[in-house]
Amino acid sequence: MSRFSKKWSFCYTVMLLSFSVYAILDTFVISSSYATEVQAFDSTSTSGSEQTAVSLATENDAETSVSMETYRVYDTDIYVATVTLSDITSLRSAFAEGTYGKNITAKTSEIAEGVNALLAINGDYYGVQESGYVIRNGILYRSSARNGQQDLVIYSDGSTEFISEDDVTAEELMEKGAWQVLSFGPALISEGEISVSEEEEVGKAMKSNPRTAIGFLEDGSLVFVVSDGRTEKSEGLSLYEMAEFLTSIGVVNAYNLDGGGSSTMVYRGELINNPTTSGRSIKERAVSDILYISN
Amino acid sequence: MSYDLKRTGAIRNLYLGISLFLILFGWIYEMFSHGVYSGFMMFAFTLPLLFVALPYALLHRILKEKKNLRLSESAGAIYRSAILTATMGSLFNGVLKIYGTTNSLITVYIIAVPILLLLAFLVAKSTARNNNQKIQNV
Repeated sequence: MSRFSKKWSFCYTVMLLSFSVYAILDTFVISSSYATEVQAFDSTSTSGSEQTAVSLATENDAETSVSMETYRVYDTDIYVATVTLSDITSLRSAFAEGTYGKNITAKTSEIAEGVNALLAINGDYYGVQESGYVIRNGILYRSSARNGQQDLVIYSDGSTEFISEDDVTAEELMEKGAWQVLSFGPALISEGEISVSEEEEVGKAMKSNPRTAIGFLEDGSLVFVVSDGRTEKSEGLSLYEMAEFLTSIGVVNAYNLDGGGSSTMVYRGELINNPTTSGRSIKERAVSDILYISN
Repeated sequence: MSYDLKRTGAIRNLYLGISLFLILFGWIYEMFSHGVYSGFMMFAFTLPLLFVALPYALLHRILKEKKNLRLSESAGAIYRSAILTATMGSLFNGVLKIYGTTNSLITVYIIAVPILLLLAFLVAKSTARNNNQKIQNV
């Protein structure tokens, strides 16, 4: 073997492996904040009621009504929180550590505690993506579009819309009064019709998984839905099964959020579902963002 | 310097081993990814197999008969680097697809492969020209 080829092979292989390790670390580990700390929404709780049973809970105040129900469908436990808001701006989003950035994560319950959330679910995990609109609480954080990405837009007047990032810019959405834009998908139900096929999946998986979805009823009420999965007790849902279930409870528009080990619902500081990544242990995965209803 | 039988056989075996390792790696990775798979991960093994192991197996056979065949080992080293880069890029892209994430660093692999292939071609051409000149001078 010539001296050059020996040196080249060794040096190049070391360089290639080093770069690949760095690329993996950059994707999953190395964190970087993109902006200064986001001002977290904070309000003091006025409710003096004791914590109600997890399986069924209803509470009302002048502005917010929350009811919690558990279903058992497709060998899976599904948790549904139906929320009626007098003002859609009570639906808020929070970032892990109050910071918009890459690989900055925290458990849903921790983020929820930090913002005194009454009810919270995991969001769209914007932090693992380098593109895709990020508009939260009426603030534009990222305007770089992702090809073919379908988003859910929740406007400050309470209306909702599914858009493609190919067709409209983030700035245009801001002008139209976008309050929250979620960039994961796909849309599960659109105007009462299931909009996913039985073969459709996120990331080419056909298996059932824990799921998180956000939906809207005919009367404009919001539903947060989280299903268990990957365990002996709960198999999990396919996207189509989630859409079918949501249709059965009257949801007319629904959008899929980050699922799998990220799927988490927290109510009054308590974990409602059984979050798991491997199926072997029940524990929350750290995520980059949540959707919540403030206390 | 040019290849000999022993060297081509060693390279063929090394890249066969790499291909087998990648088959195993992809299979195990898919087992733990809850049914999510990526073609980039699953078929990464085809790159070292089709573009190095098989050609070198062929070269090994040719060298048994044509002992005077002169091929640039330097060009071969650069060519193999290109295939290794494509393989690592395929694995990295597979990881990104499985996790549903993105990273612009994938561009580095995409750019490096054709550059290395071009470099290997130029080195091979230069070596062949030098060899021809040496033959003419003799």
